Amino acid sequence: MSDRSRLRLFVLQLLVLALFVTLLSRLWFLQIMAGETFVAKQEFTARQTVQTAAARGRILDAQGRQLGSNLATYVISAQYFEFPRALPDNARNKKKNAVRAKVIKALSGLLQMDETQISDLTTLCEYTKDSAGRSTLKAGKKGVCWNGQPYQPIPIKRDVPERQAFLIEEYAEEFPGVNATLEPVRSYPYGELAAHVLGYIQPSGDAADAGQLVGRTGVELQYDKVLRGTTGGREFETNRAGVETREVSSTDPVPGSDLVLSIDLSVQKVVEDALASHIQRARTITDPCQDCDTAGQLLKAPAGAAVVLEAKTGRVAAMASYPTYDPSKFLKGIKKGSPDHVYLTDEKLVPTFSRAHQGRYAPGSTFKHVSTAAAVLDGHPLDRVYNCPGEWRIGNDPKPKHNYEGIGADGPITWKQTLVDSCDTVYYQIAEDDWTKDNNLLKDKQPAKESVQQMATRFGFGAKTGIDLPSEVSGVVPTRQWLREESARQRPTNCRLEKELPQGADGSAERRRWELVKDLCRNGSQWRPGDQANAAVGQGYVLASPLQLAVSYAALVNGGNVMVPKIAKGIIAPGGTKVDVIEPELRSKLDVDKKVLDYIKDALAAVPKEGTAKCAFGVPTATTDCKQINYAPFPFDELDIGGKTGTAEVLKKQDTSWFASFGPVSDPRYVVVVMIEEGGTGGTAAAPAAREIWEGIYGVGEKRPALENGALPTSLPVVAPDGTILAPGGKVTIRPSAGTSPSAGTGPSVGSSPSAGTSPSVPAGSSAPAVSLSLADLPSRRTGRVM
Amino acid sequence: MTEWSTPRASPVSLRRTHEPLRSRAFARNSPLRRLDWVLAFSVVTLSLLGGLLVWSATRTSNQDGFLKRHLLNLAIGLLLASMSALVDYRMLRAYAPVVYVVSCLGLIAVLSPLGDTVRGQHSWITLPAGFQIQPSEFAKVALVVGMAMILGEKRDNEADPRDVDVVLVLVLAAVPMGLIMMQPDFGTTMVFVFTILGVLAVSGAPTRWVAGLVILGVLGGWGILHFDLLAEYQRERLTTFATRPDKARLQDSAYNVDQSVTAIGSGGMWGTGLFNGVATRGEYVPEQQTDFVFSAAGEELGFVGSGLILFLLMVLMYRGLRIAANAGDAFGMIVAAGVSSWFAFQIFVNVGMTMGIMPVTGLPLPFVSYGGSSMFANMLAIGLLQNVHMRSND
Repeated sequence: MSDRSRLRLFVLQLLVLALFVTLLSRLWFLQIMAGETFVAKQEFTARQTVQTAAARGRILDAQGRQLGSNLATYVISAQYFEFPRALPDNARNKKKNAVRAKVIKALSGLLQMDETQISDLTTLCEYTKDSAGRSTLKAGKKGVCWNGQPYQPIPIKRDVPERQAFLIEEYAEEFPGVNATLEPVRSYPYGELAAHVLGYIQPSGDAADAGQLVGRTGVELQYDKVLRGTTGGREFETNRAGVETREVSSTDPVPGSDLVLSIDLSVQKVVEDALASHIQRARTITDPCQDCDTAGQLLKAPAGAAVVLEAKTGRVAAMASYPTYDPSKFLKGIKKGSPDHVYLTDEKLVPTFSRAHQGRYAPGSTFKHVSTAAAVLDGHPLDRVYNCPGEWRIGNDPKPKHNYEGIGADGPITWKQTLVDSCDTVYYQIAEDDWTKDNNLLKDKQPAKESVQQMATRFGFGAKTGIDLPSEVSGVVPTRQWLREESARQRPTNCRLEKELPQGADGSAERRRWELVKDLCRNGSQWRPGDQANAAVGQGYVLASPLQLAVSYAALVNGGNVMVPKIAKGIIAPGGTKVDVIEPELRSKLDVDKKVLDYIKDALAAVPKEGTAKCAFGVPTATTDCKQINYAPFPFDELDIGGKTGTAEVLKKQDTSWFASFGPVSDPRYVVVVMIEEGGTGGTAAAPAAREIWEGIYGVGEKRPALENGALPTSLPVVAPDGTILAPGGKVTIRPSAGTSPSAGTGPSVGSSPSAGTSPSVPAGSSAPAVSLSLADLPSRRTGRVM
Repeated sequence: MTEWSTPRASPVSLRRTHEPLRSRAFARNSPLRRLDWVLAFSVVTLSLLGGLLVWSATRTSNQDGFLKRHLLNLAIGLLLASMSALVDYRMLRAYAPVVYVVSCLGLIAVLSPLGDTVRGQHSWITLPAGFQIQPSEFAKVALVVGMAMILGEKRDNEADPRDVDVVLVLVLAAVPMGLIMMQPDFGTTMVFVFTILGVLAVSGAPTRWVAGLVILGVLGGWGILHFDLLAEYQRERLTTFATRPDKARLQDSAYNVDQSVTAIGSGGMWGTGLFNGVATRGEYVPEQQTDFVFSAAGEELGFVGSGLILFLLMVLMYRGLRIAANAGDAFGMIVAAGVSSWFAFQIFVNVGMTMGIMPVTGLPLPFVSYGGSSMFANMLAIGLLQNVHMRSND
């Protein structure tokens, strides 16, 4: 071998070695240095997950009735790889395409669907890439072809009758790749009942939730985490074509916990019926306001709200808002132009808006328990008498403020009479005094006392009550400080309006408005005697929700405990394995002498009997006022009720009608607050509605009591391992999804024990592991029968 | 006597000169004794590992069909290797022209109506029983033997090949190369270029020729890499033989490389374990049992396993070049150097392609990839190496 050959062979060897070194370095880089990235990339390409929704926890009323349950519905779906696929139309595929056509024809006959629709649904969407790399849909229209992954079941039809589902299963060979599976669907068996408490659910827009249904309002939102459960899922590898090759992991969904509410359906029904019927009735009544613009017109009464609180615990026995809505309408989404679209667009009424805890209204005279307590503590003792003139001029106001309904006594009256007749002028005088004293304090560089405002804050006004419902309002307790901040916020607008608005002629409405705006622009931040007078009678800037008022009355009658109102009473884990009781919660003590509170309570006890609400309670009277509101006498000896009417003036609207009541007077168990927008005086619309609620709860006269002995159950209903619900005390066995389902069309029957239904059902706890539960510890086991 | 028959001053050679001529002849007639066992071991191990990988890459949709045929190919291949090893290569010289002509006829047949297209390459002849032959694989063997014939003959009397010999070699190579380019199969063409280059260099041909060929090789390589840019007008001529537009093919190969690189990268140090590769099981890498078999090794056997395969291939190359260095004569040396150059280039291009550092050209990985023609041609070549080894003065 020549030296040249030898040298070149050596070079060749070196070259080969270099090539191998290159390959090994590249291999090292790919596998060791960048390996992690590629593992992730590979998983991203080949790993797929299909999620299984967990059955949402049920929502039960205090007696264990299902306000929110899960109906099992059948969904017919196709597995892409098993269903005969659409092949290009040529001679070779003729037979296969004929099979597909046959299956589709059979399916369309069974499901009563268009053949082309089924064909489109079972075809994968194809995309073409343009030069810019954008993908555009090739075959089929959007939403018609299957835009999901081929390994996911393609839903062909949801909510299919049982018979069709059974036929699909029975003739499986006729329907290759077609399955009928059960799918839990939220249902609200009582329709609109307690809608504002329940709220509604909608598919989540959050990618992490993968289209899961999540609560949007009400307890569905507040307790979403509890109710939702844990989504199950299957992770698996697919090959290039998308066919599953191996299961990586699989977890069963964990159903959500059941939520027990303190709401009692029977009471709720009474409340909603009373509210609705008295709103309807108010619309037939002429506005009793003599000197209003709307005098002589019928009351509009477009909306209202009512709250029933357990006075001592603050538990909400019922809470209603009118108009209401059907939460199940939101499950499928509300299309534009559908009759339900009003839920979302009717700006004035907005049925989804819960007026009971989201609405802010001037409470009017129902606020007087606060101003009375404040006045008594501030040097206007209970044992003195006060003048109640028909009208009172405050400060340098050109127009005197007068009492409603022409009330006016010539002689001095007691605090009790002041409350019973709702004499505003007494409060005006005290307010003027207060204002002067505060003004003097301010002149001496000392902080103003603002005794009414302070008392209001102690009663819980001006702050959220803390109820376990979303989007609660705080209301307003107007102080000098508040007014300064508020007017600073509104000043630019008012000053702009002063320039823009027409001044109008003297005495015209235009001129009045312009003068108001002008005044607000220049002196808006000034706290005047009139403001103090307004605040004392729950007018002017004072705003409160019906719930806040109920909480304050509960504090008045329960010995001074301001409670945090509670909707939920307990959380029961699937299968009844774990029970969390939600205990009543004290927010603060009133710190007002019990004698004062009892005096006010006793004084208010006379209001339905001889005061502003006497017409609503059918007490015979010489005056002609009761003509429009003619009611049978209320049996006070059976059930002693106290309360306070409120008639709140609202700019450009008819008066808001209020009635805040409590009973039985000797040891009040409940507080019932009714508010009807543009419902006239408190005695006109709200008091009769409240009376009907009281009658319903206790079963006055011929009525069946909504609550036996008028008491709410103290214990929680019990959920058995199989999902069966036993009522507290174990008297009634409530089957899951009991036959009160709305599909019957006859409407739910409230008050009678629900009978077992025939519709298929998914008990929330059914997929939970069977646990040995010591039922002996649970109250219902003693007498209850377990299915 | 030329330097080829002069005993070299290696201890082995020295020892051998003391032995009687007869015993040496006896030893020579006992091929097993002089077999390069390391080479044989690495070839068989590679083929068996290849069988496992081919199985893993195809078992999802074909159970063990490909495994069985790979093993059958291996068996036939070993038989062919034995045949080409046992016939004295000096006698092979006489048959070299025949081998050459037959392989050229095969390549012509590919272009005739007998030819068939597989995976976009018009490189196949379909035989009656459904078998397919890829003549270009065998043409590699024929080329090596043919070049050795020309360059080796003269060497008995003269030191290095003359210009005439080089020209003759190039003419000889031009015929099959032209036919292969018409398929078009640029991968195999480049194997030819590199093999010719290796052979000419090692044979001691004038430097200008070697340098010229290096430049040609570089240009050719560049041509492949930039085929898309180069050949708007050329392609029109060539696409008459290709069934799919080149753009689609390039898109395919980009996808192929992406999947292959991902699969290899995800293997990490230890790999997912045989049959456990996500990409391999899911058949994400097209042609994984053939050209992209190294991606299965990368994913399932990791750096350790695929490194072992590279190591075995390196051993194979080392033995091949060692056989060339120790060959008994110029013919043997050129055969061994030719086979080594061919394998070296093909291994580098194939493995580099699966790792995204070389363009996608339809070249299989010797012994590991599934494929009959490739296995048979490779085995014939290994037989030749063994042949040279057994008859060397080592």
